[in-house]
Amino acid sequence: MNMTTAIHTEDLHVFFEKNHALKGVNMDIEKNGITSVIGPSGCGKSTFIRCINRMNDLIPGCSVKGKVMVDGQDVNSDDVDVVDVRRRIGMVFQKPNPFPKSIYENVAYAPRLHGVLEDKGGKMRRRRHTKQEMDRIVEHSLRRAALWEEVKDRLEKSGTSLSGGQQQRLCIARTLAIDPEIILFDEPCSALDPIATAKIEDLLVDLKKDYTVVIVTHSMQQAARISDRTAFFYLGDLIEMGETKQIFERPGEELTEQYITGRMG
Amino acid sequence: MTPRTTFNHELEELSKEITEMANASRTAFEKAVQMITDMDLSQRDEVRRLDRRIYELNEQIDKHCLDLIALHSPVAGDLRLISACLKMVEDLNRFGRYATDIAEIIDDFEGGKTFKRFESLRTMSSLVVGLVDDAVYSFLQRDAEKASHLHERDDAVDALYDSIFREVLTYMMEDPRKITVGIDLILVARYMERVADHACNIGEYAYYMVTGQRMDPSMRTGDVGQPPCGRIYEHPDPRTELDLK
Repeated sequence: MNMTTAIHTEDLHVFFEKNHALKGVNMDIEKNGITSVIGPSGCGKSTFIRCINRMNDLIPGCSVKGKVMVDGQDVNSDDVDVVDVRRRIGMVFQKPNPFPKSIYENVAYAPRLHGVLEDKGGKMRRRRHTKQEMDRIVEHSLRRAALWEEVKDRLEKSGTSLSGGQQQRLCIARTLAIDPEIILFDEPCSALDPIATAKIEDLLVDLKKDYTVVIVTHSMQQAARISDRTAFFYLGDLIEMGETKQIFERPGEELTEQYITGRMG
Repeated sequence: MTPRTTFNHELEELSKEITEMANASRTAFEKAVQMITDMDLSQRDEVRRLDRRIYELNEQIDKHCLDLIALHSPVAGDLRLISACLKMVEDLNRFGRYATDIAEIIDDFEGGKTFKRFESLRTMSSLVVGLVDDAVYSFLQRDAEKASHLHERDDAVDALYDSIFREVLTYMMEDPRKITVGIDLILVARYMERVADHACNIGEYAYYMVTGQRMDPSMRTGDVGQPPCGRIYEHPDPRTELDLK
């Protein structure tokens, strides 16, 4: 298959103290595609995507072995700036978690923190965004998250005043504001109704033109609807990965068939 | 408890329905063929009754499959089974229609005496009944190996049809009074040839359902679908027609 790889994992193991949560995962994730990660609870899906931007570092007792290569660089190596990794690889979680700030500030928060990197006489320096630059980032991110038309007249209102689906799109806008290359979604629609879910799904399909998207989902229909490739995990092992159509029409592994047809006891 | 109890129960029901339809279609065709081979015209009403039942089952299975897709979102092997059933009912329905058509032709034609003497038709009918049997078997028993050989036997049916066509054509050219019976004979042979094609379709669905792979086009040997006239004559040259006085 012809594809450009955005993320490559090699013999990736994760331990939570004595619990061996991921057992040597080798995977290539396609650039500018949507990759779904499916599997029963506790199979290591979320653990896997949290390895990609080192979110597992925040869990006490967690250790990661193996490589996670992004743009030819192992994100787990000691010389990597974790903050920069998380800027380049954004993440949206299951439950919308807007800051208790205005809609505008939710989106502006991260760009303000990072500032703008500028070349000043051969030296790279960070400076604050101007008001105009920040307005442009906020509008662009909200438009990209398909939320601008719904909130443009109330940007000063609290982000928590929005509906669940709008809050989740605000979180996506917040991630887009710092211009990542990869966006990880950990069950982003599990708390949303079907209409809000449909909007997020449309958005994800639209976003893949510019970003690499990896999504953990419990909804097989969602994986089938939006993803280009699907990976199935079971008890910490990557059982099968392939084109979504192939996985859902003729899976190669019996375990995959049992899981997607709902016959796993 | 096995997961998806309701869905599994529905799939079992679907399997029962498709089995009944397959058996009814096979029986209808077999009885129509018996009308040729045994000159047993008493089968006529039974063929018609079976055709009505086949049509009812076609509607019932079609609706059942759509309900299952809408309500249970099947994937993988389940989806392939339902998709195969949806297609297969159309072919089985055609068995019933062709059986009725054959029965009507024989019924209309002087007690079918001419057909009895026509041995090629008997040979062809026995080949096609065997093909139908194995197609239905390959589907119901999930036998991809058997399904993969059906096209080879269809070639024999096609060859026999060509032979019957040529033979009957000769009779008709020799004696124009035989044109009516000749056309009836060709129609019966044509219906049987079409039934064999539908049987091969069922084999293809069975193959895909079991293996998840489409049948290799090279397995479809022969010139399936080419009109028999094309094999006997070249395209008529308009100038030749003009020369005919």
